Order: sequence, then C-alpha cells, then structure tokens
Amino acid sequence: MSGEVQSEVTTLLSAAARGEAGATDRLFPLVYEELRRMAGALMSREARGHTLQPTALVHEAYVRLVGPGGDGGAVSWENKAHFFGAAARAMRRILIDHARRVRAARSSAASGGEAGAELPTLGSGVTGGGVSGDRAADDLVLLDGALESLRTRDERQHEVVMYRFFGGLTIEQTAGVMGLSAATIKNEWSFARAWLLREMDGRRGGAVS
Amino acid sequence: MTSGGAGGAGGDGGVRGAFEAAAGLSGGARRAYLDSLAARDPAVCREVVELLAYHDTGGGVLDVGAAGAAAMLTPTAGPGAGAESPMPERVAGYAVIREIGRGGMGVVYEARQDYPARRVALKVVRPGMVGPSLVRRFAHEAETLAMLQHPGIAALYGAGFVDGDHARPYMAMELVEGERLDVYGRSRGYGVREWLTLVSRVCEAVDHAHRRGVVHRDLKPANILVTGDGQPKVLDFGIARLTAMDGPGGEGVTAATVVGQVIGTVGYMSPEQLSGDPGQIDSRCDVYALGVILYEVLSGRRPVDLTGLSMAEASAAVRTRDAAPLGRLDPALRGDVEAVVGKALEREAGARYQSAAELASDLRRCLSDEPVQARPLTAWYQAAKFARRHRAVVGIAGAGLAVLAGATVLLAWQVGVSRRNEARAEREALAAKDALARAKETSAFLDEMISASTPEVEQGRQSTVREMLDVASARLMSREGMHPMAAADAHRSIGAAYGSLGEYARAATHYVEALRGFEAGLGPGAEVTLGVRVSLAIALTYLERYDESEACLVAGLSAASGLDEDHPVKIRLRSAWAFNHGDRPGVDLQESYDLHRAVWERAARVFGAESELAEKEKLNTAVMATRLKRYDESERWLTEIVDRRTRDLGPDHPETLLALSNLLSVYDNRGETARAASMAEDLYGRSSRVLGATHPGTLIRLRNSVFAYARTGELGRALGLTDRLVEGMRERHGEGHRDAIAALGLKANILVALGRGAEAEPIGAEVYRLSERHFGAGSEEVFRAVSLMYDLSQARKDRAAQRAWAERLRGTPVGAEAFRQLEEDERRDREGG
Repeated sequence: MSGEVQSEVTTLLSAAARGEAGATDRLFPLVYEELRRMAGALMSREARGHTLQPTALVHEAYVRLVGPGGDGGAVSWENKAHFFGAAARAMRRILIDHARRVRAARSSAASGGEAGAELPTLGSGVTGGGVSGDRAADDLVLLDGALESLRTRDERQHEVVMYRFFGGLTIEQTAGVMGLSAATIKNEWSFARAWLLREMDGRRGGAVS
Repeated sequence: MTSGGAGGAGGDGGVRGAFEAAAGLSGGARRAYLDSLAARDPAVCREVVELLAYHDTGGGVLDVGAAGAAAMLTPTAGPGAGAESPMPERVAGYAVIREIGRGGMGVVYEARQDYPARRVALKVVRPGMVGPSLVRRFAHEAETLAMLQHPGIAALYGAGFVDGDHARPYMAMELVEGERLDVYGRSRGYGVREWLTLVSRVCEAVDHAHRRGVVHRDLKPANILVTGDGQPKVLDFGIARLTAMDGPGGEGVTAATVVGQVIGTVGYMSPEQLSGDPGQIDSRCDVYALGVILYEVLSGRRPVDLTGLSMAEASAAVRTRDAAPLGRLDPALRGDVEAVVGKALEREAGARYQSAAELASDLRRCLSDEPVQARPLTAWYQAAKFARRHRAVVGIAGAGLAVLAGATVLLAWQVGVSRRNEARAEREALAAKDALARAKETSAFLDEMISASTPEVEQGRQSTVREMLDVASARLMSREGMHPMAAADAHRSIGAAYGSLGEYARAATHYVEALRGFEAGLGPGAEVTLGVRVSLAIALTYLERYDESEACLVAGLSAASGLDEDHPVKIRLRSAWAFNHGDRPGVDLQESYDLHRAVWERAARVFGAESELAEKEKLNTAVMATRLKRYDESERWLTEIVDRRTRDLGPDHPETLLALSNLLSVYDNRGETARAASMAEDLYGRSSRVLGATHPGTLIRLRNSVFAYARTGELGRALGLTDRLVEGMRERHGEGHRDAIAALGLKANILVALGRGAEAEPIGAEVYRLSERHFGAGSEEVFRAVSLMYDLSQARKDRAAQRAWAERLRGTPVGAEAFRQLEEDERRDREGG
C-alpha cells in the first residue's frame, strides 16, 4: 500500500462528497484492486477457515486506503457511503468473476462420470449430491443478471441490494449509508429479494427439481 | 451508484404496496387480504402471490450473503476440488477419519470419539452459515436434542464450536449405517403392508420427539435411514431449527442453501411451513411430511407433482393443490390407506392427525383391518370393516358360535342376551345357531358391495359414498334367497349410512325392511329390533312424518314394556320420543323441554354426564330452553357443551361447531344481533375449513351469517357473503337446486334493500328463469320468483309490471298483500306527483 494510493482515495472521496462528477467512478478501480487482492488471499486454500466477510473486508480496505475511520471525524459518513458503494460494486465484480471461473472450470471438467452418483445422505442442508459450490456459482451469475434488470426498474432497490448483499451491511448500516429509515430499507430489501428470486428462477428456466 | 428514483415502485403498479401489506401479514389475515385483493385486482394479486412464495421461502444465495456465497464457492474452486478439501485431523474430542458427505451447510465426517470410544457422524457447519442468534441458543437446543433417546432416532452425542470459533458449530451424532427409507423398501420389493409397518415405526420415533417438544421440520426419505436389521432411524432431529439462522436484518431465514436445493424439500413441506411464519410450525408439519413420504413410497409419486415448476410455482402448488387420491393411482390403495394418507396430507393442519402417534395408530388399524379414525364411523363402514376382519374368523371351526353371533348382531346394535326374558333368550340362542351361515352371507354381501364400487368412487366424499350406497341399496332390494337375518343386518347398515348422509327417506325404506326381518327373526322385543325402531323413528321425524314416527315408537315402547327404564335401549326410545315430540309444529314447548330433560338426566346417570347420549339430550334440552326464551339456562348449558367439546374434541370439531351454532341462536334470539353476527361469520369460517366450503352444514352457517348481518343492518357485509353462498350452493347442489335458487333470490333481496334494485334486475330474471325451468309453472319456487319480480318492479316504481306480477300471485295471501301494496304505492304516486 503506497501513500500515493491512500492520498488519491482520500482525495477522490472528498471530491465525491462535494458531488464532483466521476469521482466515485474513479474510486472504484482503486477499491476493487485492493479488495480483489485481499479476497483472493482469503479464497485461496492457505487461508481456509477464515471467512470472507464483506463488511470486515471492506472495513479493512477502508483502513488501508483511507486510514483509520475514527480519527477525529476526519472521515464523514458521506465519505464512507461513497466508499461502501464502490466497495460493494467491487465485491460484486470479484464474486461474479469468481463464480464464472468456477463454472468454466466445471464445464471443462464435466467429462467425469460422477455427476449422477448419489452420495450418502446426511440430512438437512448437508444432503449429499455435491450441490452447494456449483449451485452457488450458478446462482451468483443468475443474480448478477437479475440485479441488472432490477437496476433498470428500481434503482433504489438495486442500491439496497448492493449494500446489503455485496457490501455485507446490515439494515441499519444500509439505512445510515443511504440516509433512509431502517423500516424503508427493510421493505425495499424484502421486495427486492422476492423480486430477484423470482427473476432468477425465471432465468434458470424453471428446470430445477 | 446513485441514489435511486423516488417512489421506486415504478412499473410495478400496485404490486409493491400490496406486497408490503401482505408480507406483513400471516395465516388467515394474509389469506383474507389476498382474497380481497383478488376481488379488486386479480392481476396484481397473482403477481403478489407469486412474489410472496419467494418471500416466504429460503432465498438461497441471497440469504447467505456475499460472505456465504464466497464460502460456498471456495471448496469447489476448481476441478476436482472436492477431493482436496481440507479435512481437520481433530475437532474437539473427536478424531476425524474421513469425509462422508458435504453440502451447503457444511461437511459431515466419520470420526472417532475419544471418550466414550465410538464412531460418530461429525457435522461441522460451514463458516458464514450461522447467525449470531443461533450461537446464543445453540447450547440450549443441543441439550434438548440430546434428550431424544429412542431407537428410531439417531442420537445427538455432543455439540460445540470448532476451536471455540463461534461461527462454526459442530454436532456429533450417532453414526447410522443404513439405506434411505425409500431405497430400502424398494430394493426389498415392499408391498403395502410392509410400507405401512415401516412408516408406522418412523411415526413412533417422531412422536417421541414431539412429546419432548422437538419438531423435525425436514422429514423426507433422505433423512430416514433403515439399518441392516430393519430399524428405521430418523436423522437430524431438530437440526433444521438449530441451523435456522437470522438474516443480517433480523428476519428469520432458513438455512436453505441455494434456491434450487430448496425445491427438493418443498415437496415435503406443509402449506403452513411454506407460509414462512415460524409461529405456525408445529408437530403437524411433521405429520404432513410423513403423509408425503407414505404417499410417495406407496404410489411412487409425490402427492403434488413439482417437476418442471419454478420455486414459486412449486410453493403455490403445494399450498393450493390437492393430491390425487391414492386409490386413483392404485386401486389396491383405495379405502382405508387412501383415507389415512389423505388425512395426514390435509392442507389445513387442524384437519390432519394431530400427532404422529395418531397417524401411527391408524396405520396399525389399517394393518389389522380395524376401522380407522380417518374415516367417518358410519355403521355401513364399520359393518364392511367387520365383515372383512371376520372373513378369516368365519372359517375357523369352533371359534365360538356365541362370539360370532354377538359380533354379527353388533352390526346392527350393541347387544347382549337379556337374562330376564327367558323366551327371548331362547330365541336368540336359536338365532345364534345359524350365525355362522349368517355371518358368512352378510360379509359376502358387504364385500360384494365394496368391490362393486366404481373406479371413480373416492372414499370419504359424500357424493361417491352415495353412489356406492345406491348400488348396494338397489342390489339388496332385488336380492332373493338371502338369509333373512343377514338381509336385515345389511338393510340396517345401509339405512344407517343413508341416515348419516341426511338421506332420511332412503334410510327409512331400509329401516322398514330391517325391522320386518328382525321382528320376524328375533321378535319385537329384541334389543336389535328396538334399536332399529329408534333409528326409523328418528328418520321419520326428520321427514316430518310425525305420526308414523310416533306409531313406530309406541309399538317399540309397548314391546319394551318389560325393560327397565334405565335400559340403554329404553333410554334411546325415550330420546327418540322426545325428539319426535319437540320437532312437531305447534309443539308444547314446556312438555318437550321436560321430556328431553328427563332423558338427559337419566342418560347422565346411566351412561355418565359426558356420554354422547347425555350430552345430546342436554343440547336438545338447551334448544328447548332457547325456544322457551329461558336464555340464561340454555346459554349456560350450551357454553358447557362448547367448552367440553372444545377441550376434548378440539375447537373445530364438527360437534363443537354444532353446539356453537346453537349458542349463537341464543344470542340472536336474545337480541344480541351484533354478537351473533360476528360469531356467525367466524363459525362459518371454521366450518368451511373443517367441513369444506360446500358442506351442507357450512352452507347453512354461511346463510345464517348472511341473515345475521341482514338483521344487524350490515347489508354490505351480508351482500359480501351472498356471492359465496350462491357459488357454494351451486357447487354443492347444482344451479337448479332450490337452495341455490333461494340463495340467488336472497342476493337480489339484499340488493333491493340496499337501494341497488338495478343490479338486482338481472339476478331476479335469472331466479325466475331457473325456477321455471327446474320446477315448472305452479311450483312454490316459481311462486317465490314471481314475488321477487314483484318486489323488483316495485323498487323501480314500474307500476304496470308490478300489477302484472301481482296478477300472477292472485288468490294467495301474498297476492292480496301485493295488491294492497300496489294500491298504496299508486296512492302515494298520486299524492307525491
């Protein structure tokens, strides 16, 4: 982490806070680069057992890029909001890219004959059949597309999902960042969640069983 | 990212707001809301229902958050990654041996516990899958689960957190080596009996947990393993709850990992579980799941076919579709098995078996050919059951003629040989001698009737029981050469079956035949004969053939003069007498009250205060008290009956509802119309749930609700219910039935009262058309339709039409009143204009 980057992030955050056009967009690659590096380490095998917690990750990135948040109120909530927005977008790209790679790897390895074999069943959520990773990858890619549809329909709901899902923020934190009441966020989230699930199902082609 | 557009709902129209409103409701309130929405805007409603289905179920990847999704991606982050997943060497006091399964929630290892030394299944939850609230209650839950000690339940040995990391709970469970329930039975070529036996054992295990307050929530064949020695073991008891986690926003979210994965489980989830309201989840959800399992293993199909459905459609299907009766898929399953599985699969939890133990009991009854709880205990059905159960017995030499004779007579009435009347005893002993032949013949006849039922016959449905009965009735009537006692038995059973369907005319015909047979064979004073007289008299009273009913009872009481007043048959004769008396028009109410009360007190003394007969007479006494305007008395008794029945039978039992209906009429008569009206609609709602929307009892209560609201002047509400009444009556009886037509007329009347005569016009015309077509000129129905047309023309001040309709009523009191009103109207027209 160079001092240069740190100061650039700080400058961009201030610019974004002043409403300067494009500041947030220029913030994104910096945040993305840092998050990708951190996430990459976490997702690799040597770091297994650790959790990829977006909130923790974003906070850590924030501290690295901007400096400790609590230093005498130097960083306003508004600044943080811009940062979290950029971070959520970054997380989204990181995750979706990752999911695409998992899928690509799977299809190139699809010649194996194990797919239909039934594993011993061990109960709720842990049923055999090797679902989770592949399905999660599929679902994330579907989510990405569904989220784009949502953006064209309702930007605010899209934003809530970005903060909540990719930013890992709670309802209250999202409310703080967006300057809305927690109740509003909760309602927006609730509707967006149902809407996205339906959209994802539609895109899946309804052929799950 | 910029701040979103204001209003947000954008192209969603009213969907957004309606969704929010509905999502905040649950159970009946939500249903009611959606009903009203459907009426206002069906398109919006459809979309909201679809979204709610997603709202209510696990959101898969969306609920685990990016963190969970990332965690899921990690172990399979490349080809063959599964094989190289890290396996811990040790977790707490367990040495990990090998991985035996993995899924979204975590990984399962085979491990060896240090002390006591044993092999266990060690389930380690994946990081990121567990919310903070689980951590808080983990210890408590684990303790509860550890209390489940049953051979049919895989025991929980221990639980804790990996390395003290509170994000990763583990559970050590009994390691079960076996096959999935369905695979186990299928590979052994299981037939119906084997399946019922096996699943009943599962029910017992599940009941053990229920009694300790633990609901499984995720029962499915995959969660039930059968060991080599045939012992079924239910896995993961309480785990569904243990791993239910709180979403970041605090909304309870189940740990369904990925949307697609959930769907495999949806098929076993009860509608209330799918509603997403955790408050509705109780042991009856497990009963439902057991029903699905039974259905599936017996028929090879799921009760509701979810293939190719999206998550929302699947969820909606489970909540709205009835399973095809098992008997339709496989005629061998027709009858009891179908009824039992059907009862476990009822969409309303209240209509299901209330415990896994009840289900287990009925499964065992199926196996031993005893009458099952799931089917109405009509005498007809019991007789059929009896015949089948004794088919084997009949052939056994020396099985004891007395037993058989008693059992055969039991078909008609529970009876023993009277010790006092020597002559009759002798005659009955004689009758017992050819009991063997009789039992054979009766059972053969009943069997034939059962097998004669057409493939369309679905047990438990009134219309089709009816069809079966009609076939039996016709054959019995034309049969010759049957043993007179066997024929009498069969007549009585069929009569009782018709009686329970409210078909009193047909019931009476068969009772008359039965009476003739028993009187000739056993004598007029035999208890069986007297019992038939009671049934016949009651049927005749229902038919308003009061004098015949009385004559029947007079003969019975005279034949029974030798019997003690406390004799059960004598009490029943008195009860029927009181019923006949009280039902007549122009009855002396006080006398009738005294008659009922005397029977009530005697029955309470002889059979017990809460015996069926005593309580029935208590209810009748209370009804008389209501008619005598002694409301305090009737209110007290009816309240007692309602309380007793609510306690012992449940709040929604048909008998409870009947008592409530009578209590309601107390309030209504006492002038508490508002109270009566509010109760009436509630009672209707419950009847609708319990008996079905188109059960005659339900429809009567619906009609009462309409009347009750009409009386309180809440015509709007009354009108709101009439559409359902019209639909219900039409569905039940067909549009040409008098009750259906009357319901339509009622709607027109209410509209007129509301000043909306114009809307009533086409309805009136329809009433007229239907009445004329189905009942013909000169019928009472057409007469009533004409008077409705008169009212309508009066409402629109069309005096010419009013006069024309009045002409059609001429010569009757109604006609006289019509002309009187017409003159009045014309006078007022002249004065006003």
